[in-house]
Amino acid sequence: MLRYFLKRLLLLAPTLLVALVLTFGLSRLVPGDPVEEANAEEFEQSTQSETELLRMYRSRSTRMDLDKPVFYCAFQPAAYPDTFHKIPFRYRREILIALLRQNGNWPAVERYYESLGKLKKVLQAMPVQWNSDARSSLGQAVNNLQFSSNFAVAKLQIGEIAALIPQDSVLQQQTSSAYQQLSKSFDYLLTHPQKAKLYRPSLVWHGFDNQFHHTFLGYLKGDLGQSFEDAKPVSAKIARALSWTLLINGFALPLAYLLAISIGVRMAVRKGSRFDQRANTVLFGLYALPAFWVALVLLVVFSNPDWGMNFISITGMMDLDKDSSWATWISVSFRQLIIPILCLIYPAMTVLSRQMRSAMVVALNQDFVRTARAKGLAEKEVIWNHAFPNAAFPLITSFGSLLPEMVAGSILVESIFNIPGMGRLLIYAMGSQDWPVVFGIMLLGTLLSIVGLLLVDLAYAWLDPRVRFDRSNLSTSA
Amino acid sequence: MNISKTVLFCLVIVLCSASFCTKSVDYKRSGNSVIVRLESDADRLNTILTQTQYGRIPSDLAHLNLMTYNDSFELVPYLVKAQPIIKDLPNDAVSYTFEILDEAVWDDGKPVTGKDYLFTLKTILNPKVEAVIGPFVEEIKDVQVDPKNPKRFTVVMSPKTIYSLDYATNSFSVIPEHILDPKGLMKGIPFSDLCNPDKADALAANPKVVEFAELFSSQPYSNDPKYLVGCGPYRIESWTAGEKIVVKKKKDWWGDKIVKTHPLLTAFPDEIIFKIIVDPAATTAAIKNEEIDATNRLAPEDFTALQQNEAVNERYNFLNPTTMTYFCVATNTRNPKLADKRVRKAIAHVLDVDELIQELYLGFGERICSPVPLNSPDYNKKLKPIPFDINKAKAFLAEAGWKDSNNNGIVDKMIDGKSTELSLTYFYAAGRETSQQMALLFQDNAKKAGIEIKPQALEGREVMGRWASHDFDLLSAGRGLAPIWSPEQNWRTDSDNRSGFGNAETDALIDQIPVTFDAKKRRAMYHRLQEMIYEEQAEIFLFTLKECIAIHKRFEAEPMENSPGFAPSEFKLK
Repeated sequence: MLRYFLKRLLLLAPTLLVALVLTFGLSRLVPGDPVEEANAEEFEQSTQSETELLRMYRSRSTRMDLDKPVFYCAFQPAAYPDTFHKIPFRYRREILIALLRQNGNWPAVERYYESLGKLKKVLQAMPVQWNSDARSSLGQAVNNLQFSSNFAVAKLQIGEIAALIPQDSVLQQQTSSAYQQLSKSFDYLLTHPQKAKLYRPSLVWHGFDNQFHHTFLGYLKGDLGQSFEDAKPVSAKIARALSWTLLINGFALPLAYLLAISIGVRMAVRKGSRFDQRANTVLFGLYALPAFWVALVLLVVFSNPDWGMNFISITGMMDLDKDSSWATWISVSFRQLIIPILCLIYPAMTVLSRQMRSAMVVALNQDFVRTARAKGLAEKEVIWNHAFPNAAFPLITSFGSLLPEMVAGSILVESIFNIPGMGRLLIYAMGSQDWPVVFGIMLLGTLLSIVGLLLVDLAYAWLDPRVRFDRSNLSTSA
Repeated sequence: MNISKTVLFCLVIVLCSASFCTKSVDYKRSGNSVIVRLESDADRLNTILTQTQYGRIPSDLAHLNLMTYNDSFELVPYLVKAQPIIKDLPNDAVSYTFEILDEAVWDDGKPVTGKDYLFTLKTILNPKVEAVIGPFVEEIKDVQVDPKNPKRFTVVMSPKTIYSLDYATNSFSVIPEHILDPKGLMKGIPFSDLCNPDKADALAANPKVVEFAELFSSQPYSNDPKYLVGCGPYRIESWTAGEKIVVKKKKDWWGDKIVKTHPLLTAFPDEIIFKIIVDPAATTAAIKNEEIDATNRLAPEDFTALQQNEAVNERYNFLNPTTMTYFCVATNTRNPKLADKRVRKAIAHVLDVDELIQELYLGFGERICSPVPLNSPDYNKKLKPIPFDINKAKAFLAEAGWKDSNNNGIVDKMIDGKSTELSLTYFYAAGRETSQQMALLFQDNAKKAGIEIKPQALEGREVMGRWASHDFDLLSAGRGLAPIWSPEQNWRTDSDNRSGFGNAETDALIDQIPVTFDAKKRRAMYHRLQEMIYEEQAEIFLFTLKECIAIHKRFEAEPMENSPGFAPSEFKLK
């Protein structure tokens, strides 16, 4: 048993690593750019100059550690650059990658795009007094070219630029050199494709200075990193949210089990009775009600002074602080959390009760129960000492999945009742692409899944002496 | 005797009947503490680093800017004694000389001086500090503090534009040097170096600059009340993440002594508590329970329901100031189908904006014709909202050469030798019911005019990404409005210009507006630019929403246009 336990504990590390790699990899597939997301106002509304946005982007991507390669290595077409992660702005990356996919010559694509940027800068630096129709049209043409990812379209647009420049002598004087560079680089790009590179796979080694390595090292040191959103330590954010989630689930889970066991056992013992039928109807009815709807109805009903039922205060829990007495904490918590806890209990309770009933019905028909009854044992003893331990397995199995769910938080209930727990934190972090927080919660969830399953195994062995996990006993068991 | 008895009897009768007739309303809470709902938690409470309004709203209570806008969109003195002395300098430069109020002191009694202003600027321009407001102060080239009177200082800006004074006075709050930089790390860094982009790399490697930036960006400087100090009327008392932010009025605040002569320094409540309530249903419940004194951003249907609830109506005032945001349908004029302004006008005519406002926002919106605040004198009132008119839309399309030649209900035209149908994709943010309903209404009405609109719901970020990369036909968008409209970034041909519209005249106007100091002339330019954009319908301006605010009747409070739509510090207990 001990050997099994240690073995499972040893499996913990690789499982966590796989979960981390998967979460990390999936997070990189989400559309959007976390740097732009964390500073949405500036980047989306575009109220600042391009140079300034670029400076801000670089500074923030460095702080967020996103200016480094994602992983130790990358398996990619040979045409792709190994510094792709350094390119600022999502739109630029997308356009450059689209150009590269058509041509395969990265240095040429890069040179072309740089020369386009130079022409734009020259144009923007021209003094106000040199405004003209040609300059405005050129500005638009260069702008359009900057977002053009198709060579055929780009060729037409460069032709348009070439036609506009001679229309204005000042414009010609100022921009001809930059235009020549652009034209040359574009011609070079067209005449020097390296498409074969697009089909040749290559393995690029980025070394240890990568995003995953830094995150992983941090985790090993017990540092979950900083939130992208507010630069607060992730562990502090999770700890605060966890306290709320544990508080409500710490009541909800045991209560759900207690209710489910008593109702399920009673239904099984009185199988076919009026109680069984009524309880079945009620349980199915409750099961059919969506939890979020029930939560909203309860919130509206029990916080409504119109009906004199304003038992819950939406902000009541927020008034508790370090100086509040224990008595205040308990009375306020009880009043405030009773409805959210009910909302958490009933869905779990309906499922568990049904499971308990089915398992108990089977157990009560087993030979060993009949034997126990024949031996003259009291009915209570038969039910609780003989039948119940055998019927409890489905409930124990459910515990394995309920534990991580409990800690990961109940998104709906926490949102509706304004409880700043793990569920609310997770949904907010995912919405704002705050990956360090998401990784922290996922890691905790994975850890608890493993711990939950381990506890399930241990509980199996404890409840059923036939269950043994040691290799030496496997042949004799069951 | 009889007369006096009769009078007394009558008086008693009158008083009794008055007391029976007057229905007294008992408020659940009393006291001079205001509870404000925030719909999301703050990111930071550091006034320089916060990037969200949820951080700005509480931190602004602890800080003061040099100047601020009044209701007429004019900059007026706030922390300074009077309007600055303005002096034109060579090379398009200008200097503003200010004098900070004599009474203005930090919490420890030390005076607020020009040195603090200089330190604030140095902090913002520190290349390792991520200050969002950095770009606004780029035009400040020098700050000279009067050695004899440190409260007096001169700010040199170049080039001189109509935005210069706003950038120098209203884009940031002054922070205390002696508290936030006790080691004097930034003292030895010349301001001129911080303004010089060529020295940015060298400065970024300067150990003192780095050390200060690390200190300033550290957690305590963003959430520890000890470092969140300003010279404003309030101090941040505590911040419980995800729950509440408490700010308390300073005892014997210096501004109280001069509030009669400086009414903008008014701060009534003793305490303001910001409670974070995310869910709309929870917010409604909190109002019914009188758990909060003020909230903005109520959903129109919740707002109307609360207004109709007698008990709530007796306890709350419901206000609808106009917000500083507008909604539009962004058009990509680079698309050959949308290149003709008559097509864009036809699209504008198939948008039943009045119905949108009425049906989706229950009337809490106001039509807008340009990207300027409706109440601003710069708004061109001659521009009239485009009416919903299918026949006009059809006429514009016919005029532009679009006909339904194959009788399939969609108009078509030869473009580049190909028969092209007027079928356009319309992106909108998924998950917003109003956006979806608007898209469907748009699609239905456009069909009547022979335009095929294909609504496509994308993730909000994706819509923004498509807009920024000019990869769209039409999309549902929203933008912020500013007291002074700065059209350069959105409308200059060689700038971001997402619609693709612009010409030499618009560029010239955009260049001239910032350097035209004659308000009358500048207004004429603003009006002309709005007229040109309106004529082209390069962005189809729809409406600006009205804020839905509830404020408890315990307080006297006025609405305002800036977010959150009210000033909690001006809540006066009745």
